Amino acid sequence: MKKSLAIIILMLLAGVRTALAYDIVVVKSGNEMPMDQVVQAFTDKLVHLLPARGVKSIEPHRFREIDLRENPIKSLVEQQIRDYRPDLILTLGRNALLAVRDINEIPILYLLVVAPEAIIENRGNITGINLEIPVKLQFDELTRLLPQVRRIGIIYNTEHSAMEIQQARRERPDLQFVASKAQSTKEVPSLLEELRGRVDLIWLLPDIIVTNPQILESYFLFSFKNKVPVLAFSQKYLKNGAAIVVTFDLADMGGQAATMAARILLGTPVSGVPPADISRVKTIVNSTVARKLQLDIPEETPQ
Amino acid sequence: MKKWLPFHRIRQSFVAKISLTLVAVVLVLAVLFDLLLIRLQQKAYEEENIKHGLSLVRLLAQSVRVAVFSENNQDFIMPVNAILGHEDVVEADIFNNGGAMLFSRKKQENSLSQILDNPEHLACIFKNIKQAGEMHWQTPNSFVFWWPVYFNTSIGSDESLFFEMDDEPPARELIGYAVLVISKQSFSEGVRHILVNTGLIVACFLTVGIFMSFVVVRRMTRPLSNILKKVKENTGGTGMRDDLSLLSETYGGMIQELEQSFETIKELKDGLEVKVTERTRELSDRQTQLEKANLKLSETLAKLQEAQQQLVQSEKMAAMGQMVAGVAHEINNSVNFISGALPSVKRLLGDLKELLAGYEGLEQLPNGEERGRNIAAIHALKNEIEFAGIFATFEQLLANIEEGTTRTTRIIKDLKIFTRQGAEKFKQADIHSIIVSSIPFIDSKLLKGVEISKEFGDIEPVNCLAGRISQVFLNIMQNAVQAMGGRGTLAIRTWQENGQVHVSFTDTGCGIEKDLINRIFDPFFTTKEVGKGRCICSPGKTSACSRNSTKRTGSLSPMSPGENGWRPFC
Repeated sequence: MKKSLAIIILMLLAGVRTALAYDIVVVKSGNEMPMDQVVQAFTDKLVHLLPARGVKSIEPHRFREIDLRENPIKSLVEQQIRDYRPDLILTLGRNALLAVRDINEIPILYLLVVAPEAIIENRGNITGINLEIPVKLQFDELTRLLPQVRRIGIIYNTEHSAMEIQQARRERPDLQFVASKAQSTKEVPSLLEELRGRVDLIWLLPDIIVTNPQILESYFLFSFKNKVPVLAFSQKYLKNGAAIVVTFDLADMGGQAATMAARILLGTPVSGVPPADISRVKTIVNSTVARKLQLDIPEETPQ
Repeated sequence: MKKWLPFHRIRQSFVAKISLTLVAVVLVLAVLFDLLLIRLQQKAYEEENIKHGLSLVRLLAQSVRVAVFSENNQDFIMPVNAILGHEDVVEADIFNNGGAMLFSRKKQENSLSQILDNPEHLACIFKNIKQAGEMHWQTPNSFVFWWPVYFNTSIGSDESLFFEMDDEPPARELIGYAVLVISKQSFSEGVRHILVNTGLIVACFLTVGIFMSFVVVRRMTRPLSNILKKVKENTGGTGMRDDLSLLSETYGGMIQELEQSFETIKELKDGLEVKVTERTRELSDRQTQLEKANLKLSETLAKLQEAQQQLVQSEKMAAMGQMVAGVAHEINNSVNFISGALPSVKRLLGDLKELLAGYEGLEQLPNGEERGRNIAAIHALKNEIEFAGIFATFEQLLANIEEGTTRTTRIIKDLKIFTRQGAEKFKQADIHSIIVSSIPFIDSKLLKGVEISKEFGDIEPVNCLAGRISQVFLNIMQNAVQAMGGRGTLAIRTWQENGQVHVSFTDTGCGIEKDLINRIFDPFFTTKEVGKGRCICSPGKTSACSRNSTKRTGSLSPMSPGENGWRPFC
């Protein structure tokens, strides 16, 4: 009687679904990007989505980090990852993605990469979250904070940021976009002078030609001289003099990546998890600059 | 001559010389210090101006870098105007890295025209700036400052647009030059102020310094001036000599005198040493002589002491002889009483025996005639022997024998007391009681015509040997009574003074010769015939007197009232 009962229990246990612990390699670029915050949000969310607990689980998920500042040689990084034989590679930053993009047999999830298309090309094991802030979300936040702003001044480069202008005009036809085309960085100051008196706000674009550190000062000089606020896309411009920043939420980005990773780890093909835009933005107002520019911005600024 | 007198006095006075020298030194030092101070301040001020100018031109270069990069003239206006807002900045020029002037603004005529019109010179300047990082120089009217304009050439990655990257430091590119011309007008005014202020400070310092120098010199040389004044007074005028010559001469003379004095002292010292040696030798001789004399004296003293001992012994023997003579005299007197009475007593006893034998025979006879005859014979015998007075005679004889016995007993008793020293103990006794109890022992026959006057004062009890004191008092009073020959007054008086009890016995007797006064306390000394008087210092009394007077609390001394001789105590 007892023997038969034990056999029945063992058969039932054999039928229980296994709770697997996943091995994930996190590759970090060699710079001071805010990676820890993203990784923490990613691991927290992934443990929540794929709890490595159950009758058959014997250990939690394993996250192994490779920092390119300590190990910058691409081939060694690839060999190290292959030795680990992880279930997923999470890359943070452009350099990290470049270092592992030739590993085809392991799913790769990228984060914090601007214009990843040129790196991914047509590889099928790479997906991730694009570091682009949706134009609509930016202007929705702007309208919420400064509803009186109608004329948006833009300096852009045809090769790098013409798409954003088109997208903005498409998403917010109610706003007037005064765009000046700059062929080179040198033209920016004069183009800004041309915008004097014609715009209510300067929209800073993530364009390396028109928003690079060489010329950044001229935007804010123009802003201060003409009392025209600057809408920026990264928190780093607050200290330069940007009045409003609509940017991505790193914690939310980590959680969004964990969701995509969970789908891949549970068996969804990478092709079935396409690259996504960020789902949520964070709005920050530089109250000092806003006061200096005499902007009437509500106290509460929900993100 | 009067016109030059002050200068002559200055030449003479050492104080004036010191003061003038000190003033000259202070003046020279002040001028040197002034020049050095001016130079240092001018240099520091100049360096400060150069630093200020370099700061301004660097600020200008930093402000116009975007404008230089974009070569937009509008962007030059604000930073250049801001720099030109400084009062001393008279010109600001901006060049690109090719040497072409991008912007120029000035407040006065172009001081750099010569340079700017000379491309070779300009190229040389740019070359120097590239090497040194900056350049500046001065013209008679202005400072010229050059500073390179750099621009950040690193564009960075797309990610750098979003995040603060910590990669390689940004590369920079020389894109132009900024030049500032600063007028020297303010600088010159500042230098003038430095000159004036420093000059004023040094002038004040000089004034105070000179004044203080005079005060200090005057105070410090005051003792020397006083000396000089005294020297002048002593020498009776200085003539035309100056102070220092006078002091020098006086000092030289003093040194000579001192040397002479030292010579004299040395001579005296040498002579003194000889004298001291002689005196020492003389003293040594004297000491030897003294030691010899001392030895002789010691020997003489020993002899004297021996002689004294012999004398004392002789005196003692003499006293002993006198005492023995007195004792023998007394005993003889006493024995005379007895021996004188004994024959009479024997005779009377014979008479009484005969009479008693008559009566015994009478008792054996019957009454009759014979008996009558016998009675008559007895009566005749009674008459013959004076039977009626026989018992009175017998009593007299017994009284004589008793007197002799009493005297002998008393002598023996006195001798016993004399030899038995320390038998009686000291105790507190009332002197008045002792005196009163001693009076009855005075010879009653002599006392009949003597009046005893007692004047007792308020005295305390005395710690003494009461029996011996009583014997002394009795002897004194007995001698007094004897000295008065049984008629006179014996005054006894007591009183207390300074913690001492005094007792005086005063009689109206014959007194004692002055020569004998020192002997009255000798044992058994008396001026009376043997057996008549009592010496104060009979063996018993002497013991009491000497002990009381020398070792205890009392003393005994004779006193005389006047010129007629001493009143005796004994």
